[in-house]
Amino acid sequence: MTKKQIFINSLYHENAVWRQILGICSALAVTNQLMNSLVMGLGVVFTLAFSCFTISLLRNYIPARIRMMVQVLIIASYVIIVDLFLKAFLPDISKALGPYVGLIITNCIIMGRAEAFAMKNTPLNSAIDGIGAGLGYAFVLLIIAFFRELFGFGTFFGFQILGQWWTKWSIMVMAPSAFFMLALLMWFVYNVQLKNKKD
Amino acid sequence: MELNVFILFMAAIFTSNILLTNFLGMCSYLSVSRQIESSLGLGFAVFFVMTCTTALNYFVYYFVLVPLDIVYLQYIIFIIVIAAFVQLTEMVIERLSPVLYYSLGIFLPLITVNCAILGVSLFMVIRNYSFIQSVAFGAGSGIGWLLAILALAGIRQKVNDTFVPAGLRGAGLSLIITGIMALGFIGFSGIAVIQ
Amino acid sequence: MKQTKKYLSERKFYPVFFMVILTVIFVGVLAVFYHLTQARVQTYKAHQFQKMVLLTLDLPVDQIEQNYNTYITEESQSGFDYYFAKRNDEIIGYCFKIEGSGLWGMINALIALNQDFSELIGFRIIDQNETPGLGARITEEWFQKQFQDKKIRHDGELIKFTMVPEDDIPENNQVQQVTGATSSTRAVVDMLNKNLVKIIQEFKPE
Repeated sequence: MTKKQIFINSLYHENAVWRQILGICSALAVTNQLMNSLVMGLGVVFTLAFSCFTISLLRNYIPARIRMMVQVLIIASYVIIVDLFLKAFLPDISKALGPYVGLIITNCIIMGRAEAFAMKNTPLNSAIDGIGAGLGYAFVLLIIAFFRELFGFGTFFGFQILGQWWTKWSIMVMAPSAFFMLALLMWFVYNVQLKNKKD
Repeated sequence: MELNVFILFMAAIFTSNILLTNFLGMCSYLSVSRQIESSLGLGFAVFFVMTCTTALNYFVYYFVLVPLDIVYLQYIIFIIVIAAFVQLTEMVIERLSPVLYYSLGIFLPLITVNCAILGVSLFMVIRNYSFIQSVAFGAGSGIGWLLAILALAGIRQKVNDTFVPAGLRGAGLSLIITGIMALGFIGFSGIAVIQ
Repeated sequence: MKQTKKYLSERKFYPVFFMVILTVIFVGVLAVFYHLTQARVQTYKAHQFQKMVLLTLDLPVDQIEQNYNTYITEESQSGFDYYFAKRNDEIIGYCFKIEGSGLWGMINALIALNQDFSELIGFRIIDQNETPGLGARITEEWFQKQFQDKKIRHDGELIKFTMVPEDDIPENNQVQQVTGATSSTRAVVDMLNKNLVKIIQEFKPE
């Protein structure tokens, strides 16, 4: 596969969220505000890229028995590096991301890509695959967050769009709405892909 | 932390259900809940690992991380403890009961990345639970997770016979069902404060 | 025979060996990174804290360190860390550091009381782990403002804070909750009431 194909594949065709049903936990918690979703998405992209790259570099040396532990170690290390970096240089953003650090480590997407791709491909390709998967995930997050923030708070990235006349949909602020929105998104994408196949 | 251990245990199962209230442990929950048998198997495995690793991580945190002032490594250390424990459990089961090993098969590695397990250990630290409280919390959360996945599996089995639009089959429907269950569980909030 | 032996030992010890080496390397990198960033993080934290104390006491924050050193004296009594502010030798308020359990973790806050502890003049949350976008909205201005400039003692008795739904209009010491975050709001209210009771008990103002 060419690099472009790898990227498009992990971004769209094999999208981590709607196709592989991975990374759901964080998709539920973070998506009530666009800003948080963006930070989370970027954090995941970074971690995915570097983790997949590193794991791919070591792939021929990792003993099969303990490969999960090794992957987890590498992933956790990068996440902590991101966290420490943010705490020191971008403290406000760190405060926003703080609670989610643990969620990134156990984000099944990272493990999933590591197992499915990074263990069997070259480092650069793995990094590209990781970035694609991360962006696909971030994309889904932003779409859901757009609706949740708009209907739940009436804002867009913190800027008031809908005025006082709008009765806030509290359910959009609470996590269950993410379930419904995600299901709707999956339904929508399915129909789009079905239509594309028919044409 | 003056908190009745039994109340903590019951709250962890029902009113502060790790999956339906804190939304942790979703991935395997959604994919495995297709059949009741596998849900039962995974649920028990999660319960076992959750309880034991919470206890283990308690010791690791208070007797290793804190004295050595390396608390910032807690994410790594906790997850390595969990991964190592799961690995060990897998090896022990494989040796003791090949039948059990084959039926649990792929679930054990899946548990390592279950965010609920890491989440429970992190909560235990943040909420300053004592050892007994931590074990009660871990066990309760595990049972709560088990009940949640069983509930979903049961509902999915019933729903299988009805009409579901093609785009929603599988994950889409599970998400909606879980969303409704989560809404119901919000009604529990405030009944028992376990913090 | 020799080959089996080699294969066996490679099977048994190599994974452990590999894992240990890798852990040491990564933990080492993290430790270096941590220590390099710590100085910055601590300075920033101390700076932020001073800023919060000044803000809670409604003092100017144009030159944080200078103002802090000019106005504030740090004290500790009966398990409370407190900071009293003096302007021209007159005490203008006491700032207490309090904490309480939130939904996801501990909530730390600063409260400022006037000279005779009859009014709560300032309230700022300095640390919380609540759900971002939901429970974490307790740090928003409108929410914290509800606790400020409120009379908390009447005839020597403490007037407690209570919660009302977001659409109700609060009176006196009632506060509007954050919609969808009842637990977090309640955690804040409980923390305030509990700590106020304790403070009044320990410090026995007239």
